[in-house]
Amino acid sequence: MLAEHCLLADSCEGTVLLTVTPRTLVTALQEAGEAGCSPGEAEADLTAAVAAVYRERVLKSPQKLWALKSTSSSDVPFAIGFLALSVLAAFHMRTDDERTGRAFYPRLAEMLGCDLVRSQPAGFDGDAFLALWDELGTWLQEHYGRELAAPDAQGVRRYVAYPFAHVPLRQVDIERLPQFFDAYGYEPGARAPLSQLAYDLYEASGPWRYLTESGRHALSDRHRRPFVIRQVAHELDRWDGCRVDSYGARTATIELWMDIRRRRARLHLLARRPSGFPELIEDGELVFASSQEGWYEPVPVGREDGLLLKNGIRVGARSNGGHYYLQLRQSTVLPLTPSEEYTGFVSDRVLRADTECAVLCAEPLVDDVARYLETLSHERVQPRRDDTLPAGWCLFTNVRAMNECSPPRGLENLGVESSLALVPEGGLRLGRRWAWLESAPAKLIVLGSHRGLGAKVDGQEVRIEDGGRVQTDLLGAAGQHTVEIGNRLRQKVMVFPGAVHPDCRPLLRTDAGDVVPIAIPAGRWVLVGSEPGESEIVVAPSEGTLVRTRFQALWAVCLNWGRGAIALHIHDDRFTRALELVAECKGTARAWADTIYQTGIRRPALLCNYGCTDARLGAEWRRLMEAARSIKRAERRRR
Amino acid sequence: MKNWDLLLEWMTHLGSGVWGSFREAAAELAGEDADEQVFVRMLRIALSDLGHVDFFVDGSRRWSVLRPALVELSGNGEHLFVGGRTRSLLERLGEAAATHATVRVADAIPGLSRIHVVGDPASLSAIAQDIGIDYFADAAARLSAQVPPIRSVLEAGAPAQEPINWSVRSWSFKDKEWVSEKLPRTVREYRNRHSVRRYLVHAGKSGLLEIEKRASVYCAALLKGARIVHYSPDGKRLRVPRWAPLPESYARAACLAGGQLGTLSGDDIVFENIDPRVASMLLVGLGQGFPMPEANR
Repeated sequence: MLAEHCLLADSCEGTVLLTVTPRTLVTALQEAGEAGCSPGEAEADLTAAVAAVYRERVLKSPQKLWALKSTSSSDVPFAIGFLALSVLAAFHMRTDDERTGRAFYPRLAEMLGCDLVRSQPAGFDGDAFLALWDELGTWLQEHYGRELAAPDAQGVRRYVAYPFAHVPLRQVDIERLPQFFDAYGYEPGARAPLSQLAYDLYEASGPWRYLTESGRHALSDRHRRPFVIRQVAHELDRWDGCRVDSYGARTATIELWMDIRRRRARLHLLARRPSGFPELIEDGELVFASSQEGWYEPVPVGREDGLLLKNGIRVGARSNGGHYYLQLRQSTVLPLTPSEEYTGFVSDRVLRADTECAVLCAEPLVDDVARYLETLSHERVQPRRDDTLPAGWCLFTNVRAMNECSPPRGLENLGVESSLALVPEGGLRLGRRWAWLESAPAKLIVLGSHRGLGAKVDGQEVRIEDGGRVQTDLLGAAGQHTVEIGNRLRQKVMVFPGAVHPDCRPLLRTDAGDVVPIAIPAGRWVLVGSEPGESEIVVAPSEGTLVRTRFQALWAVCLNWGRGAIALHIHDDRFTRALELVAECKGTARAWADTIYQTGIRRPALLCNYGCTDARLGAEWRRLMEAARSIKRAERRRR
Repeated sequence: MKNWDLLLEWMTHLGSGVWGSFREAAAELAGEDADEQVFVRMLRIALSDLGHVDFFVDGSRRWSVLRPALVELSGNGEHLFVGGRTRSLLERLGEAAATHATVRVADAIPGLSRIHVVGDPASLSAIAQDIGIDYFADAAARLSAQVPPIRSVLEAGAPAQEPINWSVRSWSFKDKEWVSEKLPRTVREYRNRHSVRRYLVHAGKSGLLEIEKRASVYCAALLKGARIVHYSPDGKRLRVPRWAPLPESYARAACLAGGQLGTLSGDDIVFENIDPRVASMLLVGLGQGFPMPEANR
């Protein structure tokens, strides 16, 4: 999986890096159709797996690190996991001063779960380490004609130089990228052209100055610069929009989501929810609520919200000592493009070439926007003014940019980007990964300039319709599928048959026991069972009450019901008799007998909700009365 | 495969999710021209009442599928398949039950199957164990015993301040409609311009208490002493006014007692075939009072 994602996917003029970061691990897992997990979890899994192998294969072998050399040159080198972990250790190095073995080896040892021996992890051998890198490089060259990047550094740091050579940007620089994205107007999840990123990061005025020296050095190195750009593009694609200001307040972006139902356009505010953001952020009228990471529940946008869109909004909350904000930037024109995560269209910072898009604009701009869109698409465009749209705004749908031309001033948001992307539409998706339920697959749409490109699903050629839709039924069957668009895009799609999730809760709580209670009307009642001593007084409020008796109740009697007494027949079918409790009750046989006798002499109304006949009720009551009379007679004799 | 059966299979596979994902998945299967509000509501009620899915778990926006189970409906061997459901699980049930029971499929609502299994309870309990699902005898009564009494819900209601700049209306038990004023000792609906609603019960000196929508009407009825639900033991029929649908847990107990969803009949929602013992537990729990039988002396 690591080889496939890092070494066999995109290359830079035939050279590849084994770039391993927590986020690339998550991406690799998703592409392999594995269950969604966080970057931290993915890293922990890899670390645990490699550490286990290191303990068993390296530490217990007299060959030590040489034990990781592969036995067969045709398989993926066995040591790739260990090498990936060494790259991960380098990724986490925080300052330039630590870019030496003094900090690297202790970190690697910690991840491997072993001690340091003479400043290196137990079992580590520098020459073996170099040999394992060479083995990986040789395998890549022989089987795939690709070159594994090698470090320039020589001398005393030659071992450490290898993992560092495969880390274009370290974690400390990755953490600064949101500042770069925000400063240069990149939207979260944007698929920005690499050329644009290269220009902004380096070509315009040298390496972006807020990177560390190591990061700026990597950008300045023309061999490593393409990898840095790719890594930044990957981070932008995964960026959740969260920015941290100088006071430590975190801000996430609010997007706009549009879908069309029953031929009317509906808009919603769609706020991102980065990790750590509270479940609820509200400002009195706007309520953003969520139960999971990623997004807050969409908030409908109505007719009255025209100014809200134009002026933007910023809502905040304080939680766990931190400040969190959600922000919708002010705008007068918004491109809306197909989204990987939501059906319909989500606000973007560009239009996508040869892809059905939409444009929302304020009324004053409608003529300029219409003219520009007609130039782009060579088709007449008409604005919609559905009554579901905010007042003062209109919407252009079915916009397909077939030409490239620079947008006029004020409409810079409507630039066109031609980079390719694959977007799923519909189906029953299983979470956020590329996985669907059998019999409900997604339809795939190619965004960007795809004309002239062939498509394959599982190696079979399939057609791409004019609208970019990939025509295939192959994704309906359970299993792993591979979709290829030319030699530019490759995506794994998993289809699963339905299975019961192991975390489903039972219908009934089991702690409530097996005793089903009896419902009793309002008032003072005495519940009686068939055995002497089985009685309990219950005082119920106006709505009645539920009682769990310690015996099987047959009747509930009330001496003061209206003008007389009442005996309510109870059907208590599901009681598990506990013999020891019956023994406890025997001491109150007299009270039991008194209750029944006193009720009986008042000639109670015998009632039953189960439709028992008067004859049956009478017979049962008489049996009880006889038993009560026997006890009273016996008592009188004793006296 | 029927649309909503497929939806249930998808939910079963995921186990849990957020409301938005359920709504989107349902919309995906319903198609563009369907009225989303109507069918999503209908689906949610059906899936909840028939014991397949819990919605808004612990007051959150999450849903959670229940474990597959066979529940005994009445003393005549009739059982209902509740909880999560997949095609493969139903196939295994069909194979295991082939000689001991009869499996019948009906429509709970168009597009969603209701699976009835008729057979000896002891045999079905063994079958359930074989295929790895739960078995519950007398489920409706046991569910009715676990529903939270309305009086407890009222007492646990969170004190709330009146929202500012929200429109308000009150439920009038006398007129049986919402009126645009603030009435005492009833439920008030507050609504903002983004259609967010809150239900606050005016509990007299205790002030305003925020309570979930359906339960709030019954809390108000308890405060007023209003009897709005009726049970007829002869027909084993529970009638609930349309404007006061049962709280979710009560609705589920009522459905599992009768083995089917409540149906609209005029201004009421009617639950058929409700055992008197279950009905009395539900009515007492709802704060509606015990259904006293007629006296024939």
